Amino acid sequence: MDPLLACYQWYSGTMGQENPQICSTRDLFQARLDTMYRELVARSISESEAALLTAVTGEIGNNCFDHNLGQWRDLHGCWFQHRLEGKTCWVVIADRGQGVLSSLKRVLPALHSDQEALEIAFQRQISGRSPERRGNGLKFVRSVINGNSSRGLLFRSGEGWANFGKLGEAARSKTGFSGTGIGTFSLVVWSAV
Amino acid sequence: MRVEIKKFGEILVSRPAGREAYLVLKSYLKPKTAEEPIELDFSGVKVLAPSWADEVIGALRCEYGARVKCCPSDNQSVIESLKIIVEDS
Repeated sequence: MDPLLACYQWYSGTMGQENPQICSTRDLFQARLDTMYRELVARSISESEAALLTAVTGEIGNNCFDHNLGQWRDLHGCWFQHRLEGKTCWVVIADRGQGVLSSLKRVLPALHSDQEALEIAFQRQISGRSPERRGNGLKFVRSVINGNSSRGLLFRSGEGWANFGKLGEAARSKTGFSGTGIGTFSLVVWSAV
Repeated sequence: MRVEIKKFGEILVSRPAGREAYLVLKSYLKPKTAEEPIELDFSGVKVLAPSWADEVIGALRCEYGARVKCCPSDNQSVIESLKIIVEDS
């Protein structure tokens, strides 16, 4: 099965199932992230591009753990998989946690839709872990990807969609993701120049 | 005094790791005077993400204010992460 669809099905399925792509702990995610960075550089992606992609991936993946401790619906951790095809890398990260709306409702009780929650999450410095001073990770992801013709992000949580960068738009129109999940699903597409 | 951030690792992304780094820093950071700048040197760091940077720089700035300076870096992940931290501070 196409790994992207396999990840999406895991994210949106009724019951989570164990899979070798799942990082059940943050330490495991960090170890795989280090491996991804070294693989990118070893395969002639510039250190600059590899560093930015790794930082973006690190922010998204760590969010899965930061916002779901004690809130996992069934399986702990995040699905993390990457593939490098020529100079284009795609990365999928998903979790079966509480989702963005549920997290942000703690600090913004008037929020009523997944879409509204995603727009706020990517645009404002806000975090469901108030009063801790957090909430700049997704702003960073957006600022690195947005407006860049060789980068893209497709992000889903509940009924909400967000996409940034030209490749994010393309990913949304090309992929046949159907069904919704409660946690989060991210696809990063990165074409190194 | 200058702090070599690479001593905390080459790939610095998570908040828990940043918080741990700050606690270690706090225990051995002994500026000679109340005015001495604290310069954070990112050379040798491969990847920096804003969550790690925020835990360290945000906490240091709460304690030492404007004495905390970030040395220039040509690493794009350092540049972009510090830009976000500065915008949010």
